[in-house]
Amino acid sequence: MNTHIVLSAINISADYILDSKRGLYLNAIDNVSIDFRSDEVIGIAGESGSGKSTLVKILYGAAFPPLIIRKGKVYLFTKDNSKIDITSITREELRKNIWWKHISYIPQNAMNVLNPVKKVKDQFIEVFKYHDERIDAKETITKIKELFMRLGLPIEALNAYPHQLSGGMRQRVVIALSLLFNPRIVIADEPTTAVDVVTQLGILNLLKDWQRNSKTTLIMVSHDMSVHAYMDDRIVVMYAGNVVEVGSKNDIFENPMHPYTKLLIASLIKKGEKKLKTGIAGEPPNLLNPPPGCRFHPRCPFAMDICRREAPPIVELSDGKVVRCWLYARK
Amino acid sequence: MQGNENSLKVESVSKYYGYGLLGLKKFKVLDKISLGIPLKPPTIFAIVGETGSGKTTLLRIILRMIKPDEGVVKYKGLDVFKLPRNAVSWYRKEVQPIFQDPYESFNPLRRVDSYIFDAAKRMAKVDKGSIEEYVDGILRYVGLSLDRVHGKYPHEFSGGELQRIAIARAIAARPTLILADEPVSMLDASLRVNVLNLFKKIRDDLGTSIIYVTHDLATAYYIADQIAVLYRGSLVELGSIDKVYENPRHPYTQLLLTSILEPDPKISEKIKPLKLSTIELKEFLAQGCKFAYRCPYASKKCFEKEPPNVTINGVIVKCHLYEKS
Repeated sequence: MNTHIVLSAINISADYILDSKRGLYLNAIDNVSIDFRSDEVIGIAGESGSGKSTLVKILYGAAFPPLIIRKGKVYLFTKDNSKIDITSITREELRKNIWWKHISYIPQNAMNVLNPVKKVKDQFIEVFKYHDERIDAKETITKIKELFMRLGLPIEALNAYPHQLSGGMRQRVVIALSLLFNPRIVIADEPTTAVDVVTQLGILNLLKDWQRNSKTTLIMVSHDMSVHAYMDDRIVVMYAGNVVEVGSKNDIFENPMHPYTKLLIASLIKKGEKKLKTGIAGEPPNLLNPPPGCRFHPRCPFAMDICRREAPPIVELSDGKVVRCWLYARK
Repeated sequence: MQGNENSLKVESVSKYYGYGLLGLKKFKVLDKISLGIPLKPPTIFAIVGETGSGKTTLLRIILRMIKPDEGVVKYKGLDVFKLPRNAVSWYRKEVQPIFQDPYESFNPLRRVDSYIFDAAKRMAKVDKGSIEEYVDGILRYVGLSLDRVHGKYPHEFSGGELQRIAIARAIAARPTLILADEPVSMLDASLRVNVLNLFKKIRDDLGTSIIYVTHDLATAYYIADQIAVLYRGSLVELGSIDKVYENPRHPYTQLLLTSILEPDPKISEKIKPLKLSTIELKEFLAQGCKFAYRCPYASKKCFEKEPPNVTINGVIVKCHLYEKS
């Protein structure tokens, strides 16, 4: 395969400041390293509060207080093979050179991010201005029309106000905006949570087609495992701020390694199943005061003594599989 | 069916909402909905539909929160909107709701255990001496205990715990019917199954019927006995869940069943892409079948005439395709 690394996160730990005087910090991301390759759909899965969105914010370079990065670097590899550290450059530089040109971001509940008092057309023009792209209005319109055709949006939508469009259409407009400058990495944060199943499938197909045609990197963030089953090539499973397992889609669904992934996959309800399933006992931990050792040990049926004392090592197995668990640690 | 005595009957209920500048133009949110939910034997009845299909409006009408413009709702043979004064509180006890977002259904300044004590005292009429024992028993039934809940406020619980407290509050009133509006859509996958299993347990142990409103057909099949599919305010298919699931007849039910995503890595080969809808209000106002704009089998008749209700093999389907000519 002819792919290369486009974005690389190395040993990231990040906290939310709750009360700096009393030293109250919430450890949202703990020692996370992931490489993102070109031409792949990589999914980030995990429950609410597992740190999916926080991780994505850091990858995008949008880590502003109260979120602080304690440790680690995020490197972006550009076309001419130079390496940019996203965590250390200024916001102005990010805006001018990185955002939307290299990385773009489809935010959570994308249907509500459009300015309600501006026509869709004007929102597009504003984006061109914000990124210092100087092209005249006519050229802008032709470029947008092209994009709309690809996403199956009617051209009349350009002259509409956001409230005149349905939820699914607004979502597609936001996707169109984020693909405007042909970015090489697109982060989609829960792109289909608020839409119904039929629209969801349509939007996922649009994203997938776009990714396959342009051979770019699509980072899918979702709590819904069926979305991952449909979209991903590789899946990153997160639990309580840790990456617990990374593997190909088939490995994660058919041969999960980490106890959390095993229990999660076993609890999923497939179409046409009536057999009694069991969920995972207990609740996710409070990150203000995470359990010592492995953060999953209070709910883990395989917990050993060492799991309660020491944080598990990151074990790399064959085929790029990574699992963070004492069960697979070798001496 | 053993008459009206042991069921909740919704009889050709319609509801209009206004739109436009002053809300003077009306469109039908619910279009002559008729269904019956048996209370004995206890049944889990799923109402499935996408956003804007009228699921929540139907639920609010059954809860007596809004009045239908046409039609009646009969509970154990009594018209719900013409109850004598003393029967209103009886109806409020018999039918209990559970809402989608557990964080929004509790007052953040009120201790959560007080809700369960209130329900036990006022609705189930448990006497003072044994009330703590009763509440503790109910909390243990949903997997919590009074020690853990006592004196705490909603923000001290996680979503899954709070949803179980909401269920405890509902069953503390000893209802015969529970209305659950998307009760698991806010919960994480690993906790979702536990709540669904709890509903099954409530049906089997306590003999309570449950109306389970959802957009998720996979979980509906997992727990429900009967199903009603709504599309743009009209009931397109109604019947036992096994029959509907194995042999969906209405084109919309077929579309819905083929577009569910499953946690199965081979799914991407099985699903075919489809076209997205761009019309919503137009569909509500449609003269004939509301699904005609997206239906692959649509003929001229579908745009002009409202489809009839056809009964096939115990399943009611609202579609011209099955009309006897």
